Amino acid sequence: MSFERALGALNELKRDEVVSEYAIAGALALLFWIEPVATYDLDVLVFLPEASGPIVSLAPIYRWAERHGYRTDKEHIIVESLPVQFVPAHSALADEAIETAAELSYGNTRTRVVRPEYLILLYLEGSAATLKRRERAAALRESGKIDDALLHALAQRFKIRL
Amino acid sequence: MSRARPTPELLASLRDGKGELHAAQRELPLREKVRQLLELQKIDYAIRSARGDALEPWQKPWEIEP
Repeated sequence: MSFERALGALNELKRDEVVSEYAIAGALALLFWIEPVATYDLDVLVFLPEASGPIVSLAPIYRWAERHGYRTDKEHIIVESLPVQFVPAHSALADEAIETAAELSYGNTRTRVVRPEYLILLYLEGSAATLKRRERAAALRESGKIDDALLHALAQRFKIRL
Repeated sequence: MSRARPTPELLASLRDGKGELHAAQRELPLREKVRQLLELQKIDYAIRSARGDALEPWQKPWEIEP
């Protein structure tokens, strides 16, 4: 099993039209932009197909996992031994984070990763802004890899205090 | 007797060194970062297990290749 195969599975999920788009978020996304931090799961923001209806259900993802022999553990699906949490886009910010995700390569596999400016805002969004999340947002801001003008414009538009 | 203290210059130099280390870490190839993550997981898991933290079953080092 390899990290690359787990990333490939995300592409299969999209190819099989179980999700219409995805982007890696959370602590694993940090690895693509700054230094790795200890984490045990992979957060993936997803758009579910329109046909799913107004009520969001992860059932199609669980069915897909079962077909592929991936077991579930509470809210995680264990994909190639990685616990993955699929999070349907919960806000306009999350929508835009998925839509504008960077397409990056890991080995021979393409994957989509939330851009750092959006990651910061997702970390600081609403009641989700725990101390740990603020710390991660700060690490991104101090990395010198942030488009500061974009970050401030987004913060203003989404009404998030930096 | 007062304790000898490091000069501001020494402290600044130590901070700069740390900054350089972080900058170098940020630029590592992705596969190396994943390898580091797997090592971090092992260290974190050992510390938290020894401390008696209540861990979820999925909170354990990944058994994968980087």
